[in-house]
Amino acid sequence: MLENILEFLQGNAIFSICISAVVVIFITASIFTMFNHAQEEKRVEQLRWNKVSAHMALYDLSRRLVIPLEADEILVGRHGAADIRFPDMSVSRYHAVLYVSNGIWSVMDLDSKSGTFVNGRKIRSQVKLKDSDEIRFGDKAVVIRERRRRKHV
Amino acid sequence: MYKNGLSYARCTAVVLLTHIVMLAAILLRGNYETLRDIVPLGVVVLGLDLVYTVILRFFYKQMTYTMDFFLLLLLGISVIFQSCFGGIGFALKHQITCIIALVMCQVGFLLTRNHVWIQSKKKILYIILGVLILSILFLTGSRSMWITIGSISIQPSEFMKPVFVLICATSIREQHEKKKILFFYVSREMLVMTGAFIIIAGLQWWCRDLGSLPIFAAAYICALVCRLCYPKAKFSKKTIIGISAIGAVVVIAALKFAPGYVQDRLSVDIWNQMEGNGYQQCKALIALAEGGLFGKGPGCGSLYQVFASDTDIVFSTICEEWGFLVGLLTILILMGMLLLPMINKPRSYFHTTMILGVVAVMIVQMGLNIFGSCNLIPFTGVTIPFISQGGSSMITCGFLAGMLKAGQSPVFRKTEPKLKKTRTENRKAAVV
Repeated sequence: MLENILEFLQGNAIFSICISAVVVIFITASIFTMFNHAQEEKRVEQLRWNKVSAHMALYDLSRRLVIPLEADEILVGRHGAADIRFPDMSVSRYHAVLYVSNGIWSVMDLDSKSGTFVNGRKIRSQVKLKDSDEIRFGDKAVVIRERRRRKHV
Repeated sequence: MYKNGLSYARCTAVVLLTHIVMLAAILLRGNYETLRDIVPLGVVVLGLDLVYTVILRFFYKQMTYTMDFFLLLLLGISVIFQSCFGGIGFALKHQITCIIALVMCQVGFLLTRNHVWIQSKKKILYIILGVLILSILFLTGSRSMWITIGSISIQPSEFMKPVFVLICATSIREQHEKKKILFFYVSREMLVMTGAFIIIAGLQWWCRDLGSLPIFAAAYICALVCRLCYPKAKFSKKTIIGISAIGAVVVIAALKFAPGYVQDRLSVDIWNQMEGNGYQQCKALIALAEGGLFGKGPGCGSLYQVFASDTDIVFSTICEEWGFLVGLLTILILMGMLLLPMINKPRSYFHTTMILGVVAVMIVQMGLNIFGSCNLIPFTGVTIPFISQGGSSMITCGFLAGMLKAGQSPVFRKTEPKLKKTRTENRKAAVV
């Protein structure tokens, strides 16, 4: 009986097209669902990154800007390819790199023309940074500071 | 519990439902003799879905899981496709390679998620590459890429792909130490990377396996561009012109001195040589057209009779049986896997370079297969990742997927060197 029904259905072209269409719809739905979940994961990953980076951010006081630190190696410079770009002639194209490891940020100068300074001292090697340290790239000064955390109710 | 706290019931349900719907399509449209033909396929595909989800749910903790569900969906679909070619059955060998691919995915993930660790082990990568090259030179047959052990054939050149991508990614470490050689600022790592690529290319040439050459070239070019864009790089017009000129000279020389069979394929008119060089492509194109949008039905195709229907021209075989739309969506699933790093961006130069290399390898491999079987480019005979049959290819692709996953769930932990305690500190500790 079942085999007869299946045989009848298999001979019907419209039925075959409908079955294929259902397969197509389900595969499409699964792709969309996965991408939707990837967006949610992105949000969770951001929270995790905040922990890794110790909730630190750079504060450009002259422009009243908060510059998020979104990677474990961040290039600072005037070049378009730099992660943090300062369009200031005193800043070299590839000026310095910021690193994070175990929640501690450090800065290294890339032989820039005007130098990198931490709390007014010129740095010659990789220097660890603390909360509220002032970093100066050429004439451009920024402060590394812990971001204000949202209070969870 | 999941480490990230998200619920994945929806993803699990969607993967299961998609596979159930595909199995139902086989039941209602497929070419089988009795209902028992479908049972083993259904049990194994749905069983793997459930088992892998349970393993992820209870035994494995990571930050992102979307890549795993994409992979599970794709591998299940792949097993269903492969089991339908030439009548409904069960592709046991393909199923086993899929399980190995899932295991390799976890291995790749665990090995590459901590970029500091993997960069400190890069000498081992060079040793592995050397061993693979020597095994191709001495263990494979004359001018062949295969090592045959009993009934199993292994293709060591496939294993070179993840190793080469990792070598390219680890070369970021000494980027600051650049020296001017002739007109370019280069680092020692960049030279080693270029040397490795030249050796691999020479080996491919010697083995007459030129189909894989564009795959390695794509990974190398991606790594080179990443290197040139890295801090302190001189990404000037001079560099661009110099590299473009070298590339053009190499391509022209390669085309001029290519072996006869390659030049034949470059200039072949497939419709005039339907029984000769253009046989597979003609059959593949006819099957693609016959399948239409919705296909002839699972197991109802005729392309399975052609050599390499489940590997080199697998896209046409799928389109013939399941329709062009399903074939296209399968490629979209694979593309979705590769596009995930665009949503959740990697947070280190190492992972960025590694992911770019993996994406380049997979996209070029996929493009060579699909465009080759559609006669848009010369036929090369490379596989579609995860879809085509082949153990070496499946293991490699599983490892590459693990590398992609590592970029999504990286570890930023650096082991601090243990400081030796001074005598006074030891005394203080003893007093306490």
